[in-house]
Amino acid sequence: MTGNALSTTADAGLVKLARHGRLEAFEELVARHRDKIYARAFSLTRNEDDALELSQTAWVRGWQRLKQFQGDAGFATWMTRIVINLCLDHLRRQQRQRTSSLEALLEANDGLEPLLPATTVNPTEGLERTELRRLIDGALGRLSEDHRTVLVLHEFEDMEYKDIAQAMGCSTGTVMSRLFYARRKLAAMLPDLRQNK
Amino acid sequence: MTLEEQLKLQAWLDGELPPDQAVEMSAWVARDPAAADLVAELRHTRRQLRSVEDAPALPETREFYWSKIERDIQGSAARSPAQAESGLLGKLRLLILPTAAAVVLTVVIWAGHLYPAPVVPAKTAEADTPAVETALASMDATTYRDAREGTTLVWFTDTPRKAPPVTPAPGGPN
Repeated sequence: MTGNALSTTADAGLVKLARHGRLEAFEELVARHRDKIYARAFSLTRNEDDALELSQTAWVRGWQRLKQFQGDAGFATWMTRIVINLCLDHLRRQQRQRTSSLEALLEANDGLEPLLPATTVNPTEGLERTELRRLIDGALGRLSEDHRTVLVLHEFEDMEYKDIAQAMGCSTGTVMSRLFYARRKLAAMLPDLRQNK
Repeated sequence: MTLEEQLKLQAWLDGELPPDQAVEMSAWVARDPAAADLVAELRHTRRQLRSVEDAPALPETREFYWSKIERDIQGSAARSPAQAESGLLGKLRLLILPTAAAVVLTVVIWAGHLYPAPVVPAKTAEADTPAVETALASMDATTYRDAREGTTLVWFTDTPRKAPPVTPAPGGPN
């Protein structure tokens, strides 16, 4: 099969070819979904180099486990789960290495943090999309890793509470709490970012 | 509003509540302005987040990005047979080492019973000096004892015995 023919083959067909050792079919899958896999790694790690390396490792892992792919979910979804797991492992390793950090303090204060009044104005009304993106991107970067991870998995991957809890190795209650505080902090940060503009 | 109530509101917004509780929450949000404000804020944050979820540009070309993946895939494939071999050797070693240790231990214990070590006074020069002796020349067994270390080892060698010299029988043919 030529490269041209591969580019018009559906994911399932490429997976089948790749399972038989056809590396060029796998290359086509990588070309198709690499942006999404990299984006997910970046949204979790907030670091270009880490995201690049983890996304590439995810592809190698995907190739090695191709026989385990059942086809129940789409190939991109399956690959996304692989990169998410790699990122979570990476973040856990990083967290272990940090003996004392501000993030740990913030996390420990989760239950004690005074509840903010709900924001009644729309802080991002009228902003251009690219500007909004920049603001939200900056705000996401200021969240703790645990808060950001829960937010990304829930909002961008549409994962349910119990699935997030399983992926992160915590309770559903912890997921709910982290998600709540992540959203509240994000909402509180956006007006500040707008004033700093 | 308690934290538990707020988390329940959020769960309702995320569609995580069972239908009966969801109905209760709808009614509560309709009559409580504070609950309605909180739901509006959470909903707004969620909407804004989802609206900007675009893939950031990958900072590498297709070829360059793929080349590392390809190299790693081929590297892992090349390592596989070696890993399999070392895995097999490792398993064999796991079997061989304990077996060999058990054999040596059995021989040492057996030798200890067969040739008990002579009782040596504790504070003599001999006690600090390992001794090597040929225990039974006809059996080609050599015993090594180290009283200080409390070790006894026995070597068995597989050398054939020398045949006795043949002497012609008197009156026999020459």
